[in-house]
Amino acid sequence: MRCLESFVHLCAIGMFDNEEINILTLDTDQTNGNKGRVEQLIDLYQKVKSEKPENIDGGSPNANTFFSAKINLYRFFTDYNATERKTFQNLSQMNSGTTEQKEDNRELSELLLDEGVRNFALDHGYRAQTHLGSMLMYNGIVEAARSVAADKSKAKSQDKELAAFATKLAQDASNAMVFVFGSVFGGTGASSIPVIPVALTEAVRIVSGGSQSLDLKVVKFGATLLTKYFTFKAPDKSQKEKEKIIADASNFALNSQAALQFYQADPTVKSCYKRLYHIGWPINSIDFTEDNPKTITGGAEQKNDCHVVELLSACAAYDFFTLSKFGNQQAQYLYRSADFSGSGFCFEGSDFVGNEKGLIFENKLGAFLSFAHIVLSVNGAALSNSHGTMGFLERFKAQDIKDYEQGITEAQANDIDEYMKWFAYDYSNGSLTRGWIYQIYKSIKPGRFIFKPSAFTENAKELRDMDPGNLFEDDKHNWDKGGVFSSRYNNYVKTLIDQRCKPKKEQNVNTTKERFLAHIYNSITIVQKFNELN
Amino acid sequence: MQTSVVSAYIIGIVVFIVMLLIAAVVANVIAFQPGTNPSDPRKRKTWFWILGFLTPVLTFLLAFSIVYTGIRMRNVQEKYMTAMCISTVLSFLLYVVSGFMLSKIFNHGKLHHWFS
Repeated sequence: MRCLESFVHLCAIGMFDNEEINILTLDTDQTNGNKGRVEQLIDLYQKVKSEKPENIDGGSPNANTFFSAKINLYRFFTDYNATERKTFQNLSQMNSGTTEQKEDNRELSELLLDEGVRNFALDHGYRAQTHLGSMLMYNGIVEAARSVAADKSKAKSQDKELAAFATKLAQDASNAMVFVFGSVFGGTGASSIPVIPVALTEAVRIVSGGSQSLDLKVVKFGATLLTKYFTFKAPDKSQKEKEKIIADASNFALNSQAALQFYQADPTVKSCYKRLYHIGWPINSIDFTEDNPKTITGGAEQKNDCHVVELLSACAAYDFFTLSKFGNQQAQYLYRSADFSGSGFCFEGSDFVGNEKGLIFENKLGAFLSFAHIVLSVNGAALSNSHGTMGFLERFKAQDIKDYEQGITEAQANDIDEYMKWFAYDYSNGSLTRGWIYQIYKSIKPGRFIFKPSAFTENAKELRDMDPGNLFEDDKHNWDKGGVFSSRYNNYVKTLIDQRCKPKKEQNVNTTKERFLAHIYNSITIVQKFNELN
Repeated sequence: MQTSVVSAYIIGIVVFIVMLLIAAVVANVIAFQPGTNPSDPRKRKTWFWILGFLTPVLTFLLAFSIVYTGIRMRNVQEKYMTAMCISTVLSFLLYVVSGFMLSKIFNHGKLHHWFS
């Protein structure tokens, strides 16, 4: 889910021009904190993109602007809350049928699954039991499709959303590209990656009543092979006794190794997937129990910080979606390495998206970070709870630029402020809550990450004095300082009100809000001296 | 005598031009401020009117000290005083009218705040 969070932020910075992206969240744990967080983030993204607050349609795709991709969200989870579905033992209905069948079922399940595996509660995920997880995830998807096919009006909302996704996939099959995020060392993700293409194919067949099918040679599938990068404290004796089966981070490295052997050899995976991106973290894994000594198996409490590895996964999706040609050959396995010096990685834009697009990535991420700091720090949306984005609108008004006077309400401007808080940081009651990019930066430390450490300060005074034009390590892209009586911000506003920044036809922006965001994007791109890229 | 009266008007024009230039420089020196209620437009407007009210005062004082005090003939003094008063009023009016026009010409720039 955190890879998806990074992916949504890549959409927000404008990496996916003119794209409509359908996202299916897939989890076993309906209440999972990270799942809830990314779904809230997507809802907010859609609010920012939509023209009218009473009609959240997610807007339309644009180019070379913030929030350029249109995102549609489909939520699916395998429901294990009811008692009869709580464990594999209950779910598989082993106690139904004739005496002989019951005996066969029992013997078969005992042969394949330990007693603990058969009886642990599934509502917090598959707890690194991928042999069980793959079977149940496939079953969950097929079961949902059958439920909708049997009687849509009686089907659960999550089943209907899965069916809607499958239908959309079938409609766009000739151009469809599906990218699957998930780790190979945990539970749900690791269980799902191998079965998703075949499960979706089956779902399409069932939902369409057999009239449609997915040709896995036509629909391109890609996925991350994300190996161990985080850890948490090993569960204590009492937790082990209580939970019986619980994910143990000490097995993650071994799980990763075993999974990679599987992905390298499995003929189904090799024929279903076009590209598999091997992503790992060869230095110290981030410890999610640093501040919480209890091992959290899932649920609303599981809200872990984002890591740069997840951003790299999102960039793998970027590579996949922007690829113009796929060969007909079997799965390609890809990896890339980054500079490592001293005690950390030194990341540049090209490390995320390749040499050709590295500067574009730096431009877009830097522009959005500057925008966030203007909104949150300079205009004070985070620090003094004032209106950050409204500051831009007030400036346009003060400079007699009437293009955005109508069409953006205060509430809509506040939505943009809110998104910025998710992206960068929030500050309340004297403490800072790290947003996505602050979390990413923390995971890289003591390494380097395109921007100066001061761009990620957590000190309130330094945030108040933040210079949004002085964020890049490479001074070439910092805004001009101006003369004795000027400042970077003053120079920026001069550019902001310049005719050159007005949205252009090729940006494909229509609504007032889209034009406003494109105007901001253009102005920051020019002052960052990246405009020659576009 | 004729030359002396013209000088009153010349002083008025020079003062109006200089003060308007100073107002434009001050407006540009005042940096754009961030936030939803930035103070820079108010500052520019304030400075425009401060310099505007100083324009007739300076016109009158300069004409008075440079030319008027040197005039000995009473009837010439009276005529020059009349010209000085007209020049004083004119310099202020020219300052305001020119400021208004510049504010509308550069309506997206800093000068716009003089009359926004």
